[in-house]
Amino acid sequence: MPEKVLRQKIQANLARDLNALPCYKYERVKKKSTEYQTKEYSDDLNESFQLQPATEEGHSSYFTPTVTTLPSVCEDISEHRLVLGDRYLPEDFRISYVAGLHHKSSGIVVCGIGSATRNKVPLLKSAQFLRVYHVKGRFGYCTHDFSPDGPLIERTTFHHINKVLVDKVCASIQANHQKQLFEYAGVHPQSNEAYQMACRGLVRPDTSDTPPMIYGVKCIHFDLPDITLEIHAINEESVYLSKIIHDLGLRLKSSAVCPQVRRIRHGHFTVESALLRKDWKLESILDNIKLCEEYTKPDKLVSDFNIEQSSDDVKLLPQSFSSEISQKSLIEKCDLESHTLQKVNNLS
Amino acid sequence: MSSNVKTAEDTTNGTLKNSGILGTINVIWEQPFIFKGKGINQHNLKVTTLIQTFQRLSSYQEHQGQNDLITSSSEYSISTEDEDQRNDMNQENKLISIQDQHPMQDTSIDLDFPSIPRGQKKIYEPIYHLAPLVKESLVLSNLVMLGVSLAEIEKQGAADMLVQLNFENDVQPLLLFLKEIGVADADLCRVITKNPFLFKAEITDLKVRINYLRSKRFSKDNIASIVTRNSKALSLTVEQLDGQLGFYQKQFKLSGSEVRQSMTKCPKLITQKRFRVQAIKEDLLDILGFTQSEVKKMFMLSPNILLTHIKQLSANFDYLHNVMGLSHKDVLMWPQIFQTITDRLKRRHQFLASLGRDQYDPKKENFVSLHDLVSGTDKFFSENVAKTTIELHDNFIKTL
Repeated sequence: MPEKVLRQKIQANLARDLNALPCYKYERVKKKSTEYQTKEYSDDLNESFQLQPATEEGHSSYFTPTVTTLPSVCEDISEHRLVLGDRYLPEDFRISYVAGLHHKSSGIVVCGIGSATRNKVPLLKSAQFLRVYHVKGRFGYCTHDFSPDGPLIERTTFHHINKVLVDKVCASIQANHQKQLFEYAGVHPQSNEAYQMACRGLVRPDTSDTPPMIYGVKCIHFDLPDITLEIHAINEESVYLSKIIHDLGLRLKSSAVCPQVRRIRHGHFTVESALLRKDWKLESILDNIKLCEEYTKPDKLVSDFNIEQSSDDVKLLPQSFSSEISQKSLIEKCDLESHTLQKVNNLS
Repeated sequence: MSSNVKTAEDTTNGTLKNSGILGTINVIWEQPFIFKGKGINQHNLKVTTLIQTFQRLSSYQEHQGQNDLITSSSEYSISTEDEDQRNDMNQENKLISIQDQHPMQDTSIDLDFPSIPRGQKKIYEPIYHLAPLVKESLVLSNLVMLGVSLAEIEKQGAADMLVQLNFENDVQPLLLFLKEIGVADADLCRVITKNPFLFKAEITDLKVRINYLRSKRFSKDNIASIVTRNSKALSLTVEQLDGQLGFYQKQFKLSGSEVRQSMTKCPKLITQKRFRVQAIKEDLLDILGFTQSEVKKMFMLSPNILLTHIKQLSANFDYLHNVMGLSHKDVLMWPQIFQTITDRLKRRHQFLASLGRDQYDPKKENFVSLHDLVSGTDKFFSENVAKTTIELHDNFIKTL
């Protein structure tokens, strides 16, 4: 499912669910007309949300074709929903993602709604969480866009491949990227600075503009011609991950396509707390916002910061002061009220 | 229109003492109604600010009502007989319509401004919404009491027409006519909301159309249900109706009773575009490989198949035939399968396949029918068809 469709669907669902609630001062709730049920109306929004059945007299006067008198329920008819239209439009809900997904891949997408688009989504973006993927591969085919549906280029044999060979290539991919990590951090891999950085935890890229950074590649399932890789990465794209499968096939003197890319974890957000497509409704989204609030607390956001080592580091390295200060300001910012929610974007 | 508003706003923003202001405002206000479905809010804002500034200028504040919009829009043109009634209500609010004969004008407009040239036309200010008119207009208020959604009608661009109606001459006869056809009281609002242009049509024309349907031996209940579910069918002329019914009869080789049956089952087909129907029929025949008699059988079982999107139709059949391994005959058992979302079909089949329960052959045990496969909630499906729990189902979907 493309990101745009995902956003439109959530917006439409939220608008629908909110409009189903009594939003205007005077209104009667419409039932299905063919059922001939007695019409109900909400008396006053401020006083009670409960719907009360209309009286018999009022009901009879609504539907004769020559209505001349106003029923007592609606004193000011121009404020009625029928006149003003729906209170909430789909465009009223602002939704933004921390990291989007390719329309052919599935998995967790962390979204912010409303004020969270301003407060928490940028914070989550700057926190540079690791994203974990399960990427499937199938040997024997080679296509233009790395997916099994694409135009076929060639077919190859794959019976010479075994798990040891795959593990070797995976390790070399990981090693290549780890060299690059220090280059993008601006230090020599053999220097003391590099050692200190590595002590502080993961070496993360400064910005989100860097090329994809891969922290781990592991083959978790091997059954020829199918394999599954678990990939930990930052700043990656789904197409890049399927290209890794393609390169793996070439290095093993064969070729491979990528039938599935699935994101199973985004920082602290896991699949267990994710919303399925059928749960993209007002109530479950509100529940999920509460559930996800703990993942956006300051201690979770500052993923880089190792408290045990920090006191020594500060003494040793005067440069790290600045980073600590920035982290403090980050913590303060985090206290602002906002919401995030996450959901699983199913295969579409 | 937009350029006019812009210039006016520019002038009102900065230089209030400029003597040219009133001239520019005049230009705008000469326009009568402008109703627009989209982008209302933006224009509304501009107009309200404009009106506010003008009210400040012309020191009419004692007459000013509480709601800016209502005061601003009190003047409107309806060619009706109950004008006297409205005139009483509007007497106080006429301040903004700058009219030569108006008694208040001489006393209250600031002398700083140049006076308006005499002999000008009556000036109206634009209204962008029906809401301020509802209280004053008998037609609108009665329609709202009936349950007609004015907001929906505005979107269809029928607001201008609606304002000009007269209750006794235009609205009442139509409502009585609809009741006479057999439309239920509660459904009147639905008919009018879906097709407000019925007010414009003449009752005699509508009667001729209904008589045509009766002559084709549609029963009274059938006609009532057709009008309630697709009120746009009433807007077709007799020739168009006849052509449309004949088209279906010819395309699918139907008998008279079959036409009646299918049209009552799915009244939307009456107003469906012919080239769409033909495209779906060709898709079923040439690309998906059904025979003519099979297409007719599917059409009779669910006429809605002609309303589905052609992409969805072929995607569903592709999955049913090539992945699930169903033959054309199996699909014929329940053609409503084409109306389900492809995503749902895929999800449920994959779940059943993971459990080893994807058995679609009615002659063997553990048969799962197409109806059971796609209908019902996920909980019902996982407990009664897949015989597992909803948790397992959800966890499986998260791995897709």
